[in-house]
Amino acid sequence: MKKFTYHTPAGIGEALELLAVYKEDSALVAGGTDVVIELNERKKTPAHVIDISRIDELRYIRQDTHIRIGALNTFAALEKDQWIRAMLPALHETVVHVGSPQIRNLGTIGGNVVNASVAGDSPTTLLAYGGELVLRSTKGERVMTIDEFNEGPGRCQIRPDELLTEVRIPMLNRNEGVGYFKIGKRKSLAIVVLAVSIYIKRSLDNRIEDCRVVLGAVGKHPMRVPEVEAALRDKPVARNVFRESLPLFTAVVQKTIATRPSVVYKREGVRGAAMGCFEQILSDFELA
Amino acid sequence: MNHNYSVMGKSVTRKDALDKVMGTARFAADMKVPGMLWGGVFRSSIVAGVVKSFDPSGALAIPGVECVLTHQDIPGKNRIGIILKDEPILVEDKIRRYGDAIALVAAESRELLQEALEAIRVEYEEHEPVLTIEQAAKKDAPKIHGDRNQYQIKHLEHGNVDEAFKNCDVIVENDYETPMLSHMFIEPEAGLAHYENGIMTVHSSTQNPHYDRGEIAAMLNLPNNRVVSVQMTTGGGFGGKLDISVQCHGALLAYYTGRPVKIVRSREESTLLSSKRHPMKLHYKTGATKDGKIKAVQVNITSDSGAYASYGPAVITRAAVHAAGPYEVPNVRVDASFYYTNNPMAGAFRGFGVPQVAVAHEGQMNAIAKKLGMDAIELRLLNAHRPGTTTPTGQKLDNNVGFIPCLEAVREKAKEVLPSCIPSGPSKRRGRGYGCMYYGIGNTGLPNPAGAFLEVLPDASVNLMVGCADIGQGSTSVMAQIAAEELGLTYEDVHVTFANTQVTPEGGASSASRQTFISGNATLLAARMAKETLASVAADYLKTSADQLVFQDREIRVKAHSEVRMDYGELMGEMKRLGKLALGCGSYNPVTTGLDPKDMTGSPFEVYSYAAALVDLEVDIETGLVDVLNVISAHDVGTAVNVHAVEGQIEGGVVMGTGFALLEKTEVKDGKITNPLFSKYLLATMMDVPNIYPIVVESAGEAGPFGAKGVGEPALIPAIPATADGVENALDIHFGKLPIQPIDIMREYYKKCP
Repeated sequence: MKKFTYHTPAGIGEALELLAVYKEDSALVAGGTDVVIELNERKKTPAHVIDISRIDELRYIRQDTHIRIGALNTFAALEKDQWIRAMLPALHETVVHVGSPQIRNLGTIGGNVVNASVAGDSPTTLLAYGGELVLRSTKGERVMTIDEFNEGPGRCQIRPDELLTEVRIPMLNRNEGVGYFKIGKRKSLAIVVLAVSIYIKRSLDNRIEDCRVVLGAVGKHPMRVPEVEAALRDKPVARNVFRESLPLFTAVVQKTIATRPSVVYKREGVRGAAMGCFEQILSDFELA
Repeated sequence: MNHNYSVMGKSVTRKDALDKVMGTARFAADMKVPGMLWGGVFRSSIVAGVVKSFDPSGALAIPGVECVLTHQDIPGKNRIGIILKDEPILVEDKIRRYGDAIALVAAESRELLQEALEAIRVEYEEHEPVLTIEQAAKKDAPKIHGDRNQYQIKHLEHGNVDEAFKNCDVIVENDYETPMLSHMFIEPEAGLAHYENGIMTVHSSTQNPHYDRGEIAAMLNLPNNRVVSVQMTTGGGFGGKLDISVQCHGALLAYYTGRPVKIVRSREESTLLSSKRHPMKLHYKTGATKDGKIKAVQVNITSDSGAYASYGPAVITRAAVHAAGPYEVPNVRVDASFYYTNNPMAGAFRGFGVPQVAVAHEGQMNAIAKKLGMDAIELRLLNAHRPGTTTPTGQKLDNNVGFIPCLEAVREKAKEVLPSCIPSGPSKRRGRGYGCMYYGIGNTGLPNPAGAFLEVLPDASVNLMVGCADIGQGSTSVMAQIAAEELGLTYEDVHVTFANTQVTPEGGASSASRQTFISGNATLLAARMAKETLASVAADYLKTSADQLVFQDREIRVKAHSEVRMDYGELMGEMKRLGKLALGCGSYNPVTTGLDPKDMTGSPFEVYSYAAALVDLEVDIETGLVDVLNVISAHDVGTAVNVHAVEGQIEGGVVMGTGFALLEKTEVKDGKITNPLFSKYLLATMMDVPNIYPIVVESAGEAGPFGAKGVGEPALIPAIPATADGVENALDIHFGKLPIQPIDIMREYYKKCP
């Protein structure tokens, strides 16, 4: 670790002031589960480290038109939140499978999004939910979708003077369901080898009115799969329909990462992960 | 076994438990002494070549950097190695692997040390590295040491293999491959060295302080009694702390600076430099009659041993001896060879080559069972070692063989606890697998003695001194139980000082599952010697003869008249009155013969432990993930000194075994390990642990202390082939190559069912 000046802003305003001054010369630390490793390995050598973990005003979970999640919520906080569990079961399923209890106690959802790892846990699910991000700086506020935000790997649209303050998800009704399925190499402390998250909105006659199908750890960031989405639209919400779509998942993975050694695994495993999502949605819709 | 023991066989609380639970146990890295410097190693960033120029001036210019040392500063021998002295303490002629030690630095702080290591400048002349066995075997290949890279060749010949195959009804022939593995002990190596009043004292995390002493003394040209090597609380070893790590480097820095020097390896440095499990390629041909008698086994083994020999010669010998498994096979041929390369050094790792051959000999047994349509346990019962069996080295086994009871125990337990074999969902495939092993206790056909000193003090408490390093396996408590039982005292009465060369006798390595048997026997002999004095005094006092006395529960009784008795307090009072001391010393060297270099005939071990395991698991064919559900593992340990401790060993071994079969692999690219961290080297975690049913089997035989053998390595071994067999049975696919990861399962499954 190189020497740096350490700042601990107590509020958002103070943090934004520091970011406005130090910009690229600084690194933000929330939970530290990614940044501290990069500092130790000298992959980052900032002159200033801004530790935002004391900004308690970013730990809220609120609901109005959206479900609003303050960026400093840890995975453990989200895991324990009964309301998140009831309203956003796929997000709950995501956070309980992040790392280990120790990592979940420190790691934050905001940090996970900004870190923009190819194998990040929550961005895949947030993209399926149609999540948006609120970015603030001394100059004002920007809101963008996860799709727009991701550039990956390790890159995203955040500017050096900006702070991610909120992740928000549009309110879902009973006819909308989301599933999430992660494959890791072991049962805990495993990074995402492959993840699938699927959102489905059904019509009154039980057809797929809208859907978002997202693959994690396949492309350089979580990616929508228009081919599958198009094939599903207007079809009945039924297990056999979902089963019939599985070969498309394989084809997309094959096409996307044709030359990588892991394609041998991912093109087959993606069907199991996708079917895991579909089963959760069927269960949400009480069709299981 | 029906014995009237007071202390043996009891699940006493381990002597180290409280300190470890409370966090007060002191590890070498915790040591802080006034005036202490931090030591570190400048390491090679190439795998093969020579140092053309070395410039430490940048480091020496930093205030607070005390010294930079190279091989030229070594006063004595610059060669170490447990079996072959082929490893330099600091590179002298050439660099043989990534991370070879080139220079040492001592500085006032850890930060300054880091700065100094980065300020050293070096120019290399790189040579073409040898990175595969095929490359190493070529005539014109660069030589790592001496004039040939094939540095170990073993040939075992028993019976007439060629003739036997002609008379077999079934023959199975398969290839197996096992990965390079890292120990990933939880505590990285650390040590503190201090040179004062002509005595070099080194405290370190180690499995063999007495060996360390010899290497330090040879390096400094000091007599052995001027070097004190003390084992600190050690956070696991599994064979990876048998080689010299920080001991010589710390001692050399302390010798030059005259100040205490502490070296603590980082996780990455630890994993890059410590020895690895030998990756092996094994070819097996096994023949049997149609009724299931195994008639012949022919084996070919090759392994890349890396840049230095470490324990390689022991691994190859043990692998060859155990290659046919715990079965009576009248005709056996084994050819094995190990090669030097510029890869990471392979050495000792829990089992010394036996886990690797067990993967193959059990794979063969399972294949034969399938081919003959026989039950896997029946086939093994038919061929099992039993008292009187002759092994492939021509050794006739005595009555200390409990393999058949292990097999029967597993079969009974399975009936009792395992649910029916129904998969939990449409994408699940369920499988059960079997694995067995036998394991010779102690070094293979070589002398490996251990000693003990003991004194019974006036208040009837006991000081026991053993060389045996306790690296978490619990030997300290085992020795206390053995001494207490023999002396008729309680476990709490015995205090054990261990693994401190200033006061404890030679203990040899805590390896080869040998300490309970060997140091245990030494302890028993030491207790017996002290007891002789005690018994003669008690006999006079109770007006009987010494052979009529029973020492038990802090009393001395006359066998035939148990009302005639005295307590230990009275006895020690009598000893004091007569001016006698209750002292004992003991040493034990297992009864073995060396192996004939021509065909490996001999009796390389005095006793063998046996084990059988069943693994019940489920494979998801949509994700390739394996869920290990239930494991039954039965172990013949002779006598269990501490039942909970044995069960703990078995449980830990099962988890490590399933990890070996399904998860773990050290990745090497261009001679450098690319996954030296816990985040990249996947071990099974608590969440992956199945239901484990450990079974302790006690066999006859009196060779060990109260009949005890060993379980440290056996605990690991049978779960590996059993897990692999379970996956193969679930999918009806033969893998042979470990680990079997989801990618392998998906590749092979969709090849078979596209």
